[in-house]
Amino acid sequence: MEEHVLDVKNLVKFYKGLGGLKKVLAVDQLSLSVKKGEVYGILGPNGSGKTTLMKLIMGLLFPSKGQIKIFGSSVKKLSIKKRIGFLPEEAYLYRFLSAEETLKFFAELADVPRREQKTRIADALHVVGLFEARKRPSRTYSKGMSRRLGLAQILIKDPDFVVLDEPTVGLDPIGSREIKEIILGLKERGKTVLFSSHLLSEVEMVCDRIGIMHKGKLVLTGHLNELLLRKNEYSLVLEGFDIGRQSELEQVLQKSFHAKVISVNRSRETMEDVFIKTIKKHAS
Amino acid sequence: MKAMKNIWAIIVLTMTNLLRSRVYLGLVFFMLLMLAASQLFSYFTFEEEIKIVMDVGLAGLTMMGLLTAVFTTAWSLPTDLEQKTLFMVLSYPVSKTQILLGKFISCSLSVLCNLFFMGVMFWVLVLFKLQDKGVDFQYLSMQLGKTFILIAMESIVSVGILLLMSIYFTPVINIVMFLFIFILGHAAGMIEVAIIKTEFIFFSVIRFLFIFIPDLTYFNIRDAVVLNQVVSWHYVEWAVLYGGLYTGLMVALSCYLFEKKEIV
Repeated sequence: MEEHVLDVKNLVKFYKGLGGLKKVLAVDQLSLSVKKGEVYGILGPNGSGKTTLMKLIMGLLFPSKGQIKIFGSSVKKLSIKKRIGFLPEEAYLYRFLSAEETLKFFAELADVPRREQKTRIADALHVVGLFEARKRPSRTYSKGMSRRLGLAQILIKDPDFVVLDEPTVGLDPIGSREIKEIILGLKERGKTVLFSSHLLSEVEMVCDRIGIMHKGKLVLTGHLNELLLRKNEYSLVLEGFDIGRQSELEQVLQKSFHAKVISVNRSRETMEDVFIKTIKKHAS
Repeated sequence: MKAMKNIWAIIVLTMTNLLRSRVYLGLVFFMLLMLAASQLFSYFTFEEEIKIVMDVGLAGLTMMGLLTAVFTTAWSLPTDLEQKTLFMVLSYPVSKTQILLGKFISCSLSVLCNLFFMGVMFWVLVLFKLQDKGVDFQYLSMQLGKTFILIAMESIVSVGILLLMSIYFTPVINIVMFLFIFILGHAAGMIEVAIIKTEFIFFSVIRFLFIFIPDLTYFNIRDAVVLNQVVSWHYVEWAVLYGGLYTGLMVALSCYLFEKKEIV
């Protein structure tokens, strides 16, 4: 049996209005599970309840009904938190601390042995590209730098389960790509990742499974391949093909394989790839 | 052991914040100004001068303790809640109680440090002023020491009250409410006498409120010391015990309520 890192059952969350009278339903009978080693993406439009779900999972908010188990235990259990890393919607940092001091503080909380702290902090700063700016107070950081420092605190903790709430929001394509690469790196190291986003391409690039939230409900869930791949439809990528001979190709495919050509398009780069290639070229 | 390590990490963080904040530096500057002001009264007769120096100096110490308590405590937790820094902190194996205890200890320590340095400076200045005047230094130092202890206790009680209210209120509302409690606490004796003499329902409500409002008059022995009246160690011990119990109750209640609070 596959080990479930996260198990959410029939989760309901009401927000009380003024005077506790008017209730707003933020999460509605939501159930989901995340298996060990997978990257699970929660997709949804703004206001669909993604952030509330993340806060409930992290124990910042309390469920009105239902239950949440992480590694089989309640998140209220402090020992469980040793195995969880969290990056909120914005990396809310202590503005008076530098990156190095921030990571030292979090290393203390994560119980990283003192003799290892220096190396782990330096490594994490190198990975997120903040080593040069490590002595600057975090109030002077751009949004992207703050976000990367937020990710660095997860790296020094080295948790088994990582929860990221809109990790690339507000970042430029390069910052966004770097964060996606960090998430893929976490996956390669066998970590389980749950992250929310409203950017479809981002989820497509890094997730194994996704869940779509709408008005507090999980309206669709499944493996990315199951959801995106069309039955009995394949794309053939050709190099050096003469487009003038398209009809010949169609005939061959029809005659020999009984396959019908639905469309022929020129391969395209994504705008993100073009942008990153251009910037990298000029930077070098 | 881990709990102590967590509390220590929060103490270091809070103290770093205080030492780097301009408000705290402003308080230190104010403290020095108050001390200087107490030395300006040199045109009175010797007896009057000593009384005024003691009166202004001790009042300055009390104000310094309160201001430090207010500016460190009223902002500490609300800033963390408003800037949402607790989101990441609480994803670590650290409890809300440990965070609150760390904040209480660091705010109390900053109050005690300020009072200690101001107290020592005040004591040196008083001794300097009274040298060759035939004053019993040992007795006077003892009296000043008792006053310092009770001023420190009153400030720590204030930290406890401010910490409790900071869980729910913004710094400004917290300060206004604290000032209200502070004034009531200092008028506790007078108001209680007035309440006993009346049967009015309104006063019954106030009487009920006074169960929760600390009687801060216990900590005010400044007048007695200025007027050279003897204050026993026994009295000081009881006042410290009262303050300690009241603060303990405030901190315990704060921890309980903070554990129940959602971090939105």
